[in-house]
Amino acid sequence: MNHSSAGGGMSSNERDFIARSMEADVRVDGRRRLDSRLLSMTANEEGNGIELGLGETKVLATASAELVEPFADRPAEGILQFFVDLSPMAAPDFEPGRASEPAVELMRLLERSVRKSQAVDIESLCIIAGKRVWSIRCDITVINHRGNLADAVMLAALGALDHLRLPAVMLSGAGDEATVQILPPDQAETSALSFHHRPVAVSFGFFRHMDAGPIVLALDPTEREEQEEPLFPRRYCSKAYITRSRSPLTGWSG
Amino acid sequence: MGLTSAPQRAVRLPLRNRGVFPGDVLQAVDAFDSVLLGPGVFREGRELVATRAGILRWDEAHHRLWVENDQKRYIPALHDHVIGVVSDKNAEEYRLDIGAPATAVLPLLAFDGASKRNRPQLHVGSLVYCRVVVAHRDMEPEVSCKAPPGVGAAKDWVTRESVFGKLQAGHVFDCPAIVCRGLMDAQGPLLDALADVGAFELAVGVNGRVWVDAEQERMVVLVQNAILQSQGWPLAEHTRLVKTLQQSFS
Repeated sequence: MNHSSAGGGMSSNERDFIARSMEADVRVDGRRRLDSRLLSMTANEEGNGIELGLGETKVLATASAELVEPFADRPAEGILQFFVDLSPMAAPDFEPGRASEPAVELMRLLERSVRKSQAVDIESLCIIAGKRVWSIRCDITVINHRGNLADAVMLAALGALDHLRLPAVMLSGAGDEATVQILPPDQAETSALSFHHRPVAVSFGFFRHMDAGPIVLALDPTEREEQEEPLFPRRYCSKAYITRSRSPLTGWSG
Repeated sequence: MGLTSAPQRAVRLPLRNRGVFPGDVLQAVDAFDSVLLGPGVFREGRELVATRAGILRWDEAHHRLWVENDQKRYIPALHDHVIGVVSDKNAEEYRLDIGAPATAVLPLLAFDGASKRNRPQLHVGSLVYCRVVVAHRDMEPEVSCKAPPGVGAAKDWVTRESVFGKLQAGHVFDCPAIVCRGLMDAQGPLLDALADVGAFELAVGVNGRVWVDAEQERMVVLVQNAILQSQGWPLAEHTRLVKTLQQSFS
Protein backbone atom coordinates (compact mmCIF):
# COMPACT_ATOMS: atom_id res chain seq x y z
CA MET A 1 0.00 0.00 0.00
CA ASN A 2 1.05 3.53 -0.64
CA HIS A 3 2.04 5.19 2.58
CA SER A 4 3.85 8.15 1.14
CA SER A 5 0.85 10.24 2.05
CA ALA A 6 0.93 9.23 5.71
CA GLY A 7 1.00 11.99 8.26
CA GLY A 8 0.83 15.56 7.05
CA GLY A 9 -0.45 14.69 3.59
CA MET A 10 -3.81 13.41 4.75
CA SER A 11 -6.66 15.05 2.85
CA SER A 12 -9.39 17.01 4.54
CA ASN A 13 -11.91 14.73 2.84
CA GLU A 14 -10.51 11.73 4.69
CA ARG A 15 -10.40 13.57 8.02
CA ASP A 16 -14.02 14.58 7.66
CA PHE A 17 -15.11 11.13 6.65
CA ILE A 18 -13.41 9.44 9.58
CA ALA A 19 -15.29 11.64 12.04
CA ARG A 20 -18.55 11.45 10.08
CA SER A 21 -18.53 7.67 9.82
CA MET A 22 -17.57 7.37 13.47
CA GLU A 23 -20.85 9.06 14.33
CA ALA A 24 -22.69 6.46 12.24
CA ASP A 25 -20.81 3.70 14.11
CA VAL A 26 -18.94 2.39 11.09
CA ARG A 27 -15.20 2.73 10.86
CA VAL A 28 -13.12 2.85 7.74
CA ASP A 29 -11.78 -0.67 8.27
CA GLY A 30 -15.24 -2.07 8.86
CA ARG A 31 -15.08 -2.16 12.65
CA ARG A 32 -17.67 -0.72 15.01
CA ARG A 33 -16.62 1.92 17.52
CA LEU A 34 -15.86 -0.45 20.36
CA ASP A 35 -14.25 -3.19 18.28
CA SER A 36 -10.58 -3.89 18.74
CA ARG A 37 -8.33 -5.20 16.01
CA LEU A 38 -7.09 -8.77 16.01
CA LEU A 39 -4.31 -9.36 18.50
CA SER A 40 -1.56 -11.92 18.10
CA MET A 41 1.47 -12.69 20.25
CA THR A 42 4.32 -15.00 19.37
CA ALA A 43 7.30 -15.89 21.51
CA ASN A 44 10.48 -15.80 19.46
CA GLU A 45 12.78 -18.80 19.19
CA GLU A 46 15.57 -17.40 21.30
CA GLY A 47 13.12 -17.32 24.16
CA ASN A 48 13.80 -13.74 25.13
CA GLY A 49 11.19 -11.82 23.21
CA ILE A 50 7.65 -11.37 22.02
CA GLU A 51 6.38 -10.38 18.63
CA LEU A 52 3.05 -8.67 18.93
CA GLY A 53 0.61 -7.79 16.19
CA LEU A 54 -2.39 -5.55 16.77
CA GLY A 55 -4.05 -5.42 13.37
CA GLU A 56 -1.27 -4.20 11.14
CA THR A 57 0.66 -2.61 14.01
CA LYS A 58 3.70 -4.74 14.76
CA VAL A 59 5.91 -4.53 17.82
CA LEU A 60 8.91 -6.58 18.91
CA ALA A 61 9.82 -6.60 22.60
CA THR A 62 12.83 -8.31 24.13
CA ALA A 63 13.94 -8.48 27.73
CA SER A 64 17.39 -9.24 29.10
CA ALA A 65 18.93 -9.35 32.53
CA GLU A 66 22.42 -8.72 33.88
CA LEU A 67 23.99 -8.39 37.32
CA VAL A 68 24.96 -4.84 38.27
CA GLU A 69 25.62 -2.69 41.28
CA PRO A 70 22.38 -1.03 42.47
CA PHE A 71 21.78 2.73 42.63
CA ALA A 72 23.22 4.13 45.84
CA ASP A 73 19.91 5.58 47.00
CA ARG A 74 18.05 2.30 46.43
CA PRO A 75 20.48 -0.40 47.51
CA ALA A 76 17.85 -3.12 47.93
CA GLU A 77 16.04 -2.70 44.63
CA GLY A 78 16.69 -4.15 41.22
CA ILE A 79 16.67 -2.01 38.09
CA LEU A 80 13.96 -2.12 35.45
CA GLN A 81 14.36 0.01 32.35
CA PHE A 82 12.35 0.45 29.18
CA PHE A 83 13.59 1.62 25.80
CA VAL A 84 11.20 2.32 22.96
CA ASP A 85 12.55 2.66 19.44
CA LEU A 86 10.45 4.45 16.83
CA SER A 87 12.48 4.26 13.66
CA PRO A 88 11.53 5.47 10.17
CA MET A 89 10.93 1.83 9.35
CA ALA A 90 7.77 1.97 11.46
CA ALA A 91 6.39 5.10 9.82
CA PRO A 92 8.02 7.56 7.42
CA ASP A 93 7.48 10.55 9.71
CA PHE A 94 9.54 9.06 12.54
CA GLU A 95 13.10 10.31 12.58
CA PRO A 96 16.17 8.20 13.24
CA GLY A 97 18.54 8.95 16.09
CA ARG A 98 17.58 10.35 19.45
CA ALA A 99 14.35 9.26 21.10
CA SER A 100 11.52 11.37 19.73
CA GLU A 101 8.72 12.88 21.76
CA PRO A 102 6.23 10.06 21.16
CA ALA A 103 8.92 7.51 22.03
CA VAL A 104 9.69 9.28 25.30
CA GLU A 105 6.00 9.43 26.05
CA LEU A 106 5.64 5.69 25.53
CA MET A 107 8.66 5.01 27.78
CA ARG A 108 7.11 7.17 30.50
CA LEU A 109 3.85 5.30 30.17
CA LEU A 110 5.66 2.00 30.63
CA GLU A 111 7.62 3.27 33.61
CA ARG A 112 4.52 4.65 35.27
CA SER A 113 2.36 1.63 34.75
CA VAL A 114 4.86 -1.20 35.13
CA ARG A 115 7.59 0.02 37.46
CA LYS A 116 6.04 2.80 39.51
CA SER A 117 2.80 0.87 39.98
CA GLN A 118 4.92 -1.98 41.39
CA ALA A 119 3.59 -4.42 38.84
CA VAL A 120 6.95 -6.17 38.90
CA ASP A 121 8.42 -6.95 42.29
CA ILE A 122 11.62 -4.91 42.09
CA GLU A 123 12.82 -5.89 45.53
CA SER A 124 12.98 -9.55 44.65
CA LEU A 125 15.60 -8.65 42.04
CA CYS A 126 18.06 -7.79 44.78
CA ILE A 127 20.71 -10.42 45.48
CA ILE A 128 23.11 -8.65 47.84
CA ALA A 129 21.85 -5.30 49.06
CA GLY A 130 24.12 -2.50 47.89
CA LYS A 131 26.32 -4.85 45.86
CA ARG A 132 24.56 -7.01 43.31
CA VAL A 133 21.09 -6.74 41.83
CA TRP A 134 19.47 -7.81 38.58
CA SER A 135 19.12 -5.07 36.03
CA ILE A 136 16.31 -5.83 33.60
CA ARG A 137 16.33 -4.09 30.29
CA CYS A 138 13.27 -4.21 28.07
CA ASP A 139 13.76 -3.10 24.47
CA ILE A 140 10.67 -2.39 22.43
CA THR A 141 11.06 -1.88 18.70
CA VAL A 142 8.06 -0.72 16.73
CA ILE A 143 8.26 -2.50 13.39
CA ASN A 144 5.11 -1.09 11.83
CA HIS A 145 3.12 1.83 13.17
CA ARG A 146 -0.53 1.51 12.25
CA GLY A 147 -1.97 3.16 15.30
CA ASN A 148 -2.51 2.55 18.99
CA LEU A 149 1.13 2.12 19.92
CA ALA A 150 0.38 2.57 23.62
CA ASP A 151 -1.64 -0.62 23.92
CA ALA A 152 0.65 -2.61 21.66
CA VAL A 153 3.88 -1.49 23.32
CA MET A 154 2.58 -2.09 26.83
CA LEU A 155 1.28 -5.55 26.06
CA ALA A 156 4.46 -6.52 24.23
CA ALA A 157 6.66 -5.25 27.06
CA LEU A 158 4.66 -7.16 29.61
CA GLY A 159 4.80 -10.28 27.47
CA ALA A 160 8.57 -10.02 27.17
CA LEU A 161 8.99 -9.50 30.92
CA ASP A 162 6.70 -12.42 31.60
CA HIS A 163 8.70 -14.52 29.19
CA LEU A 164 12.07 -13.68 30.74
CA ARG A 165 13.81 -16.34 32.85
CA LEU A 166 16.46 -15.33 35.35
CA PRO A 167 19.25 -17.85 35.83
CA ALA A 168 19.87 -19.13 39.33
CA VAL A 169 22.79 -17.60 41.21
CA MET A 170 25.15 -19.03 43.81
CA LEU A 171 26.31 -16.92 46.72
CA SER A 172 29.60 -17.61 48.42
CA GLY A 173 31.30 -15.83 51.26
CA ALA A 174 29.66 -13.34 53.54
CA GLY A 175 29.67 -9.62 54.23
CA ASP A 176 32.05 -7.64 52.03
CA GLU A 177 33.65 -10.84 50.77
CA ALA A 178 30.44 -12.17 49.23
CA THR A 179 30.62 -13.13 45.57
CA VAL A 180 27.83 -14.02 43.16
CA GLN A 181 28.11 -16.65 40.48
CA ILE A 182 25.56 -17.23 37.72
CA LEU A 183 24.70 -20.89 37.25
CA PRO A 184 24.10 -22.20 33.73
CA PRO A 185 20.44 -23.12 33.11
CA ASP A 186 21.17 -26.87 32.80
CA GLN A 187 22.51 -26.96 36.36
CA ALA A 188 19.82 -25.05 38.20
CA GLU A 189 16.19 -24.07 37.65
CA THR A 190 15.66 -20.64 36.17
CA SER A 191 13.00 -18.42 37.64
CA ALA A 192 10.44 -15.99 36.25
CA LEU A 193 9.96 -12.44 37.44
CA SER A 194 7.36 -12.10 40.12
CA PHE A 195 4.40 -9.93 39.29
CA HIS A 196 2.09 -8.24 41.74
CA HIS A 197 -0.38 -7.45 38.99
CA ARG A 198 -0.46 -7.05 35.23
CA PRO A 199 -1.38 -3.66 33.82
CA VAL A 200 -3.19 -3.47 30.50
CA ALA A 201 -3.49 -0.21 28.57
CA VAL A 202 -6.71 0.57 26.77
CA SER A 203 -6.69 3.55 24.44
CA PHE A 204 -9.60 5.43 22.98
CA GLY A 205 -9.78 8.11 20.32
CA PHE A 206 -12.27 10.95 20.74
CA PHE A 207 -14.12 12.27 17.73
CA ARG A 208 -16.53 15.05 17.01
CA HIS A 209 -17.79 15.67 13.51
CA MET A 210 -19.66 18.93 13.85
CA ASP A 211 -18.91 21.85 16.14
CA ALA A 212 -21.77 21.19 18.52
CA GLY A 213 -22.18 17.50 17.72
CA PRO A 214 -21.82 14.66 20.17
CA ILE A 215 -18.39 13.42 21.17
CA VAL A 216 -17.96 9.76 20.34
CA LEU A 217 -15.12 7.53 21.41
CA ALA A 218 -13.60 4.59 19.63
CA LEU A 219 -11.44 1.76 20.88
CA ASP A 220 -8.06 0.91 19.38
CA PRO A 221 -7.69 3.77 16.88
CA THR A 222 -5.64 3.27 13.72
CA GLU A 223 -2.92 5.73 12.77
CA ARG A 224 -5.27 7.47 10.33
CA GLU A 225 -7.83 7.86 13.08
CA GLU A 226 -5.19 9.26 15.41
CA GLN A 227 -4.50 11.93 12.83
CA GLU A 228 -8.10 12.95 13.07
CA GLU A 229 -7.93 15.44 15.91
CA PRO A 230 -10.94 17.71 15.85
CA LEU A 231 -11.03 17.98 19.61
CA PHE A 232 -7.48 18.10 20.83
CA PRO A 233 -4.60 19.85 19.17
CA ARG A 234 -1.82 17.40 19.94
CA ARG A 235 -1.62 13.98 18.48
CA TYR A 236 -1.23 11.91 21.59
CA CYS A 237 -3.73 14.05 23.43
CA SER A 238 -6.47 12.63 21.27
CA LYS A 239 -6.15 9.47 23.33
CA ALA A 240 -6.85 8.75 26.91
CA TYR A 241 -5.01 5.98 28.65
CA ILE A 242 -6.99 3.96 31.07
CA THR A 243 -4.64 1.57 32.75
CA ARG A 244 -6.16 -1.30 34.62
CA SER A 245 -4.69 -4.24 36.42
CA ARG A 246 -5.82 -7.82 36.40
CA SER A 247 -4.89 -10.91 38.33
CA PRO A 248 -1.89 -12.93 37.11
CA LEU A 249 -2.40 -15.00 34.01
CA THR A 250 -0.93 -18.40 33.67
CA GLY A 251 1.58 -17.01 31.20
CA TRP A 252 1.54 -16.23 27.49
CA SER A 253 1.31 -19.14 25.20
CA GLY A 254 3.52 -19.22 22.12
CA MET B 1 -0.44 12.40 -28.31
CA GLY B 2 -3.96 11.64 -29.43
CA LEU B 3 -5.91 9.11 -27.45
CA THR B 4 -7.87 7.94 -30.47
CA SER B 5 -5.85 6.02 -32.95
CA ALA B 6 -5.54 5.34 -36.62
CA PRO B 7 -5.49 1.62 -37.39
CA GLN B 8 -1.97 0.30 -37.15
CA ARG B 9 -0.33 -2.98 -37.87
CA ALA B 10 -0.53 -5.62 -35.18
CA VAL B 11 2.49 -5.67 -32.90
CA ARG B 12 4.18 -8.95 -32.18
CA LEU B 13 5.01 -9.04 -28.48
CA PRO B 14 6.08 -12.55 -27.44
CA LEU B 15 6.40 -11.53 -23.79
CA ARG B 16 2.97 -9.93 -23.57
CA ASN B 17 1.13 -10.88 -20.34
CA ARG B 18 4.18 -12.81 -19.20
CA GLY B 19 6.71 -12.19 -16.51
CA VAL B 20 9.74 -10.07 -17.42
CA PHE B 21 12.86 -9.15 -15.51
CA PRO B 22 14.92 -5.96 -15.54
CA GLY B 23 17.11 -5.98 -18.65
CA ASP B 24 14.84 -8.21 -20.71
CA VAL B 25 14.56 -6.94 -24.29
CA LEU B 26 10.83 -6.55 -24.97
CA GLN B 27 10.81 -5.60 -28.65
CA ALA B 28 12.56 -3.36 -31.16
CA VAL B 29 11.21 0.18 -31.34
CA ASP B 30 10.70 -0.26 -35.10
CA ALA B 31 8.08 -2.92 -34.49
CA PHE B 32 5.66 -0.24 -33.32
CA ASP B 33 3.98 2.43 -35.40
CA SER B 34 3.44 4.36 -32.21
CA VAL B 35 4.11 3.44 -28.62
CA LEU B 36 3.74 5.23 -25.30
CA LEU B 37 6.22 3.98 -22.74
CA GLY B 38 4.60 3.37 -19.39
CA PRO B 39 6.21 2.48 -16.08
CA GLY B 40 8.97 -0.09 -16.19
CA VAL B 41 9.84 0.30 -19.88
CA PHE B 42 12.93 2.12 -21.08
CA ARG B 43 14.28 2.81 -24.52
CA GLU B 44 17.84 1.73 -25.07
CA GLY B 45 18.99 2.57 -28.57
CA ARG B 46 16.67 0.74 -30.94
CA GLU B 47 15.28 -1.57 -28.30
CA LEU B 48 12.72 -1.38 -25.54
CA VAL B 49 13.98 -2.86 -22.30
CA ALA B 50 12.23 -3.71 -19.04
CA THR B 51 13.55 -1.84 -16.00
CA ARG B 52 11.70 -3.77 -13.34
CA ALA B 53 10.31 -7.21 -12.67
CA GLY B 54 6.63 -7.74 -13.38
CA ILE B 55 4.13 -8.65 -16.05
CA LEU B 56 4.34 -7.02 -19.46
CA ARG B 57 1.10 -5.32 -20.50
CA TRP B 58 0.20 -3.87 -23.87
CA ASP B 59 -2.87 -1.72 -24.40
CA GLU B 60 -3.61 -1.89 -28.10
CA ALA B 61 -6.19 0.88 -28.09
CA HIS B 62 -3.91 3.47 -26.49
CA HIS B 63 -0.56 2.10 -27.71
CA ARG B 64 0.62 1.84 -24.13
CA LEU B 65 3.34 -0.54 -23.06
CA TRP B 66 4.16 -1.05 -19.40
CA VAL B 67 5.40 -3.53 -16.82
CA GLU B 68 2.91 -4.18 -14.07
CA ASN B 69 4.01 -5.08 -10.57
CA ASP B 70 3.18 -4.37 -6.96
CA GLN B 71 5.55 -1.45 -6.54
CA LYS B 72 4.40 0.87 -3.79
CA ARG B 73 6.05 4.07 -4.96
CA TYR B 74 4.17 5.69 -7.81
CA ILE B 75 6.28 6.72 -10.79
CA PRO B 76 4.34 9.23 -12.92
CA ALA B 77 3.68 8.27 -16.51
CA LEU B 78 2.10 10.39 -19.25
CA HIS B 79 -1.74 10.40 -19.38
CA ASP B 80 -2.09 8.59 -16.05
CA HIS B 81 -5.20 9.56 -14.10
CA VAL B 82 -4.17 10.29 -10.55
CA ILE B 83 -5.62 11.56 -7.28
CA GLY B 84 -3.54 14.20 -5.52
CA VAL B 85 -3.70 16.05 -2.23
CA VAL B 86 -2.93 19.77 -2.30
CA SER B 87 0.11 20.28 -0.08
CA ASP B 88 0.91 23.91 -0.93
CA LYS B 89 -0.27 26.78 -3.11
CA ASN B 90 1.39 29.90 -4.43
CA ALA B 91 0.73 32.68 -6.96
CA GLU B 92 0.98 30.48 -10.04
CA GLU B 93 0.43 26.90 -9.09
CA TYR B 94 -0.74 24.32 -6.62
CA ARG B 95 1.62 21.64 -5.36
CA LEU B 96 0.11 18.19 -5.25
CA ASP B 97 1.20 15.12 -3.37
CA ILE B 98 0.50 12.32 -5.84
CA GLY B 99 2.60 9.74 -4.06
CA ALA B 100 5.48 10.27 -6.47
CA PRO B 101 9.12 10.96 -5.50
CA ALA B 102 8.51 14.68 -6.16
CA THR B 103 5.41 16.81 -5.68
CA ALA B 104 3.46 17.53 -8.85
CA VAL B 105 2.69 20.97 -10.22
CA LEU B 106 -0.91 21.91 -11.00
CA PRO B 107 -1.07 25.37 -12.63
CA LEU B 108 -3.85 27.55 -11.22
CA LEU B 109 -5.47 27.84 -14.65
CA ALA B 110 -5.24 24.18 -15.67
CA PHE B 111 -9.02 23.82 -15.50
CA ASP B 112 -11.38 24.02 -18.46
CA GLY B 113 -12.85 27.52 -18.66
CA ALA B 114 -10.76 28.89 -15.81
CA SER B 115 -9.56 32.49 -16.02
CA LYS B 116 -7.54 34.66 -13.67
CA ARG B 117 -10.73 35.98 -12.13
CA ASN B 118 -12.83 32.92 -12.27
CA ARG B 119 -11.06 29.75 -11.21
CA PRO B 120 -11.55 27.00 -8.65
CA GLN B 121 -10.19 27.65 -5.19
CA LEU B 122 -8.34 24.72 -3.70
CA HIS B 123 -6.93 24.60 -0.20
CA VAL B 124 -4.21 22.60 1.47
CA GLY B 125 -5.76 19.19 2.04
CA SER B 126 -8.14 19.36 -0.93
CA LEU B 127 -8.38 16.28 -3.12
CA VAL B 128 -7.93 16.68 -6.86
CA TYR B 129 -8.57 14.21 -9.66
CA CYS B 130 -6.26 15.06 -12.53
CA ARG B 131 -4.11 13.62 -15.29
CA VAL B 132 -0.37 13.67 -15.76
CA VAL B 133 0.74 15.91 -18.64
CA VAL B 134 4.50 16.05 -18.00
CA ALA B 135 6.31 12.97 -16.81
CA HIS B 136 10.03 13.02 -17.22
CA ARG B 137 12.50 11.32 -14.95
CA ASP B 138 14.53 14.50 -14.46
CA MET B 139 11.64 16.93 -14.09
CA GLU B 140 8.86 17.58 -11.63
CA PRO B 141 5.67 15.96 -12.83
CA GLU B 142 2.94 18.31 -14.02
CA VAL B 143 -0.75 17.52 -13.84
CA SER B 144 -3.79 19.14 -15.35
CA CYS B 145 -7.53 19.10 -14.77
CA LYS B 146 -8.33 19.96 -18.39
CA ALA B 147 -10.06 17.32 -20.47
CA PRO B 148 -7.58 15.57 -22.78
CA PRO B 149 -7.59 16.60 -26.46
CA GLY B 150 -9.89 14.52 -28.60
CA VAL B 151 -12.55 14.05 -25.92
CA GLY B 152 -14.96 16.44 -27.62
CA ALA B 153 -16.73 19.25 -25.81
CA ALA B 154 -14.94 19.74 -22.52
CA LYS B 155 -17.19 20.64 -19.63
CA ASP B 156 -16.46 23.96 -17.97
CA TRP B 157 -15.24 23.57 -14.39
CA VAL B 158 -18.15 25.66 -13.02
CA THR B 159 -20.68 23.12 -14.25
CA ARG B 160 -19.17 20.55 -11.89
CA GLU B 161 -19.66 18.01 -14.64
CA SER B 162 -16.04 17.88 -15.76
CA VAL B 163 -14.26 14.58 -15.33
CA PHE B 164 -11.26 16.11 -13.59
CA GLY B 165 -11.25 18.62 -10.80
CA LYS B 166 -11.74 18.93 -7.07
CA LEU B 167 -13.26 15.91 -5.35
CA GLN B 168 -15.93 17.07 -2.91
CA ALA B 169 -16.56 15.24 0.37
CA GLY B 170 -16.35 11.45 0.20
CA HIS B 171 -13.47 9.35 1.37
CA VAL B 172 -10.09 8.45 -0.09
CA PHE B 173 -8.00 5.38 0.64
CA ASP B 174 -4.72 3.85 -0.46
CA CYS B 175 -4.98 0.77 -2.59
CA PRO B 176 -2.34 -1.34 -4.37
CA ALA B 177 -1.72 0.12 -7.82
CA ILE B 178 -2.38 -3.26 -9.38
CA VAL B 179 -5.92 -3.28 -7.95
CA CYS B 180 -6.41 0.30 -9.19
CA ARG B 181 -5.46 -0.68 -12.73
CA GLY B 182 -7.91 -3.56 -12.52
CA LEU B 183 -10.69 -1.16 -11.51
CA MET B 184 -9.86 1.16 -14.42
CA ASP B 185 -10.55 -1.67 -16.86
CA ALA B 186 -14.08 -1.82 -15.45
CA GLN B 187 -14.65 -5.30 -16.88
CA GLY B 188 -14.78 -7.05 -13.53
CA PRO B 189 -18.01 -7.95 -11.73
CA LEU B 190 -16.90 -6.23 -8.51
CA LEU B 191 -18.27 -2.75 -9.24
CA ASP B 192 -21.47 -4.20 -10.69
CA ALA B 193 -22.03 -6.25 -7.56
CA LEU B 194 -21.43 -3.17 -5.42
CA ALA B 195 -23.82 -1.12 -7.55
CA ASP B 196 -26.53 -3.69 -6.82
CA VAL B 197 -26.13 -2.92 -3.11
CA GLY B 198 -26.41 0.83 -3.45
CA ALA B 199 -25.42 3.92 -5.41
CA PHE B 200 -21.92 5.29 -5.07
CA GLU B 201 -19.42 7.45 -6.90
CA LEU B 202 -15.88 6.29 -7.57
CA ALA B 203 -12.68 7.88 -8.86
CA VAL B 204 -9.63 5.71 -9.36
CA GLY B 205 -6.12 7.08 -9.52
CA VAL B 206 -3.46 4.73 -10.82
CA ASN B 207 -1.13 6.27 -8.23
CA GLY B 208 -2.73 3.93 -5.72
CA ARG B 209 -5.57 6.06 -4.42
CA VAL B 210 -9.28 5.53 -4.72
CA TRP B 211 -11.96 8.06 -3.87
CA VAL B 212 -15.49 6.93 -2.98
CA ASP B 213 -18.61 8.80 -2.07
CA ALA B 214 -22.09 7.59 -1.23
CA GLU B 215 -25.07 8.79 0.71
CA GLN B 216 -24.46 6.34 3.53
CA GLU B 217 -21.11 6.02 5.29
CA ARG B 218 -21.72 2.28 5.50
CA MET B 219 -21.79 2.04 1.70
CA VAL B 220 -18.47 3.88 1.41
CA VAL B 221 -16.87 1.50 3.88
CA LEU B 222 -18.34 -1.48 2.04
CA VAL B 223 -16.91 -0.28 -1.28
CA GLN B 224 -13.49 0.33 0.27
CA ASN B 225 -13.29 -3.05 1.95
CA ALA B 226 -14.61 -4.91 -1.09
CA ILE B 227 -12.00 -3.29 -3.34
CA LEU B 228 -9.13 -3.90 -0.92
CA GLN B 229 -10.10 -7.50 -0.28
CA SER B 230 -10.78 -8.34 -3.92
CA GLN B 231 -7.06 -8.58 -4.64
CA GLY B 232 -6.04 -12.17 -5.15
CA TRP B 233 -9.58 -13.48 -5.58
CA PRO B 234 -10.69 -14.82 -8.95
CA LEU B 235 -13.23 -12.59 -10.70
CA ALA B 236 -15.93 -15.22 -10.30
CA GLU B 237 -15.70 -14.90 -6.51
CA HIS B 238 -16.13 -11.11 -6.41
CA THR B 239 -19.92 -11.15 -6.28
CA ARG B 240 -19.84 -13.54 -3.34
CA LEU B 241 -17.22 -11.41 -1.61
CA VAL B 242 -19.49 -8.37 -1.78
CA LYS B 243 -22.41 -10.40 -0.39
CA THR B 244 -20.32 -11.67 2.53
CA LEU B 245 -19.03 -8.21 3.37
CA GLN B 246 -22.49 -6.71 3.09
CA GLN B 247 -23.80 -9.19 5.64
CA SER B 248 -20.97 -8.55 8.07
CA PHE B 249 -21.52 -4.78 7.91
CA SER B 250 -25.27 -4.75 8.42
